[in-house]
Amino acid sequence: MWAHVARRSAMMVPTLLVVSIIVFALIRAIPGDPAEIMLNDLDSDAAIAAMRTELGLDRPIPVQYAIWLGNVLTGDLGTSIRTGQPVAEALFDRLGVTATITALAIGVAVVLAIPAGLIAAWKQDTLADATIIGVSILFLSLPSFWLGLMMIWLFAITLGWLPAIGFVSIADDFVGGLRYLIMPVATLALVEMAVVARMMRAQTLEVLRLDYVTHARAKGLPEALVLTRHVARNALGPSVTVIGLILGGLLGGASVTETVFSIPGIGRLLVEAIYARDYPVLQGCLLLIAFIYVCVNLLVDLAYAVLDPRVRL
Amino acid sequence: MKLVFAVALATSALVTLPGLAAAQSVLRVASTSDMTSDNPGVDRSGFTDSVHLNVVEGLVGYRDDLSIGPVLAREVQVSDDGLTYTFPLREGVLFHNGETMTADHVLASWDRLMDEETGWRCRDRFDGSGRLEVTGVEAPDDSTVVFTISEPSPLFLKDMARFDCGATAIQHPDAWADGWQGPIGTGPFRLVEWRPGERIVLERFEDYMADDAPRDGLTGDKTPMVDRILITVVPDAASANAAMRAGEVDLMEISTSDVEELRDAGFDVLVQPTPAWGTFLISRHSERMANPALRQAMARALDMDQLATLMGYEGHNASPIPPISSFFTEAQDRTYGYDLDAARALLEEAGYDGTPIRLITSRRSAVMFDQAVVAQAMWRQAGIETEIEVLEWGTQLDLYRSGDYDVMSFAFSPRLDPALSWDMFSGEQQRKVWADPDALEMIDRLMTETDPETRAAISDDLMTLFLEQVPAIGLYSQPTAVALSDRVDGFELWPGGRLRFWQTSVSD
Repeated sequence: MWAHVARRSAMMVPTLLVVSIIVFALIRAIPGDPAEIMLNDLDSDAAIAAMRTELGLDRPIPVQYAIWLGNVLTGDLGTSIRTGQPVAEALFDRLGVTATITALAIGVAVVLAIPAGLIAAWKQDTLADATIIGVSILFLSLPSFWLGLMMIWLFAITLGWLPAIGFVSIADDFVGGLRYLIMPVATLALVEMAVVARMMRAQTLEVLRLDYVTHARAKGLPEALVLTRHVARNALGPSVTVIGLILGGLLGGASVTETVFSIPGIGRLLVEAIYARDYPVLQGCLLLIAFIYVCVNLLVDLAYAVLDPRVRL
Repeated sequence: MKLVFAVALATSALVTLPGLAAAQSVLRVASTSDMTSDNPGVDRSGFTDSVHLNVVEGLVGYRDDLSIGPVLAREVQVSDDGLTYTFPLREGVLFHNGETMTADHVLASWDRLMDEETGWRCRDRFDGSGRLEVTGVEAPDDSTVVFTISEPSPLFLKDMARFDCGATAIQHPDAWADGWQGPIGTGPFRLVEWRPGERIVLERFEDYMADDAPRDGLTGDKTPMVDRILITVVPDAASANAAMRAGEVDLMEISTSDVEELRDAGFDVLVQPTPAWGTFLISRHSERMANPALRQAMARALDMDQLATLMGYEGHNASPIPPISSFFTEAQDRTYGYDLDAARALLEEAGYDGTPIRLITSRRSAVMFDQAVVAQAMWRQAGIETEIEVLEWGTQLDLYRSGDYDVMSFAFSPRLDPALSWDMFSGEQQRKVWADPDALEMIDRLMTETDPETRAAISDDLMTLFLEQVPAIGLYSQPTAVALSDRVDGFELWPGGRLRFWQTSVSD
């Protein structure tokens, strides 16, 4: 297994290199110039030329790439064109926020969705099944920005229980910080829970029809043991893949939820960087997201091996 | 470990105790934009200027009527030949680090701004690469600074006071002694925290030396009356609106389309016209739009009053000169004359065959998009077909600079002098839409003429030519709007549009 981990880790390097070239070329291919955007309509040709020189945008793109790559290899991701903040610092700050929310949301979603999917399949075509599937489809159908705004309306405006805006890091104030996390975590968890629950239900239904489950029941095992020992473990595989994809997606930026709840996470940083054509931040964000996806995929593969001893890495 | 955790928890609980929190008065502001930097005049945006102008000050500033008044200078003395400006400094003014401001600090600040390395946006306004050059800056004594310029200019002081120039802020050299450390100005508030994308915290400068004159634009009495200003960055306007209703926000800038809704919800809403100018630019590089009859037809097919009303504005303004300016004469108050029959006749004269005209817009602001949609309907009534292309702002700016479009829905940020108002869309550069030689000659004269009456006459002649040639269709001077909770007292908007947090208090 460790050889597999080492091999996959080594493969990250060419993957990230290819990603960096694509990212570098594509973001420069889209119309819009950071110097023009920063100067807006208050521009003079001299000021724009000076700013392009200052930002190094007047050099050939391969030269810009070589300089950037050289800096990245020494750990310098550059400086934000928009705010002057070091990109590595911005990514670290924002990723910490997003990781907190994502971890909590995935945790809540998994804890609720796995049993829900299992029960829905076990009680197929009953009221419990219909309720679980109905609620899942409902949350899956709701746009996350709408769900977020409705939560703000209910819990912040109407009931006054939770703050509508702002963010306090749980590292600074644990109890106060949690209050700011409840609504965004719930918004993400409800939507992702629906995805996982439906996947878990579908997979459980397939496993329940297999001979070894009938055999387990026939030998007199209690139903709870059949479900947890034989069914759940074998039905988890595809759900783990989905959870991995969700994890990568959310870590890469739950920009809508972060925008609605004014959370300074990686998704918002990415969107703001796109609008401002903040090339260094954009490159840093996309490289980080690619890195996260590669890591999450590796973790999912490892989880498969743990869950199913037949899988050899 | 447990003990450390318990102490941390107890400390955090103490900090949030209501009794202690109430000891400080806090003005809670929500903003959909974040500051782009803490370096005035170097990295900026409209909102960034607002924050900076509460922290730093220059020698002069804009008044409510957009004239120039002294701020850190006691007065401004101009020599008879218009080449020497003497600024006696106000005495006893302290920087945020406690040091007293002297003429040496003014010289050091000026040298830093004019250093190419600094990246000051307005350097080219003073270094001779444009029309004006500051040829000398001297300090004959500790409390006097003398600037010498290359030729008489009506714009020298106005450029110094410009918001986007950071008001040519006078700062203490410690601010840049070891790389940029953050502003050390003389303003009524100190910048104590900036977490990008999250919040900005300003704190009352206890030793602020307020001017005796009453509050007037960015001049006069700027006494800070709240201990802290907490600006929370809320990128989504709907969420900011919700926070206002939940009682978590005291002040926020709002879109004019939300004015009635927030008034109905019981908030105090202030609306103030500013010199920002909404317009439809007509590209001079578009072959089709080169036909003057077609441009006139488009202008005359727009019901300006209705358009302004639909955008939530009080009235239209075809002129780039804002109504609050002393240069807004009767001649500026003219418009194209809404007349559908006349528009149709002009279309026939132009030989317009119904081919759709490419109308570029974006959703950068609601108005920029909405005015394009409303105008499209109005033009259709006259028989003019347009095809709206909604672009992302960066892409739209690219087209703006290249001139590769037919018509563009646009808005110019405030220009506070008639020469700059006319110049913003006139010239030989690719992005400018008006390159008529007569117009450019008149604008050139506006740049140097110092007599106000002569300048007004030139500006009026420009308006006549502008209405005739229609290089752009002027729509309105755009207002700014702010919603306030009932805790806020004393806050006022002003024509400059930038938020002033001084002389504003909050009650519990």
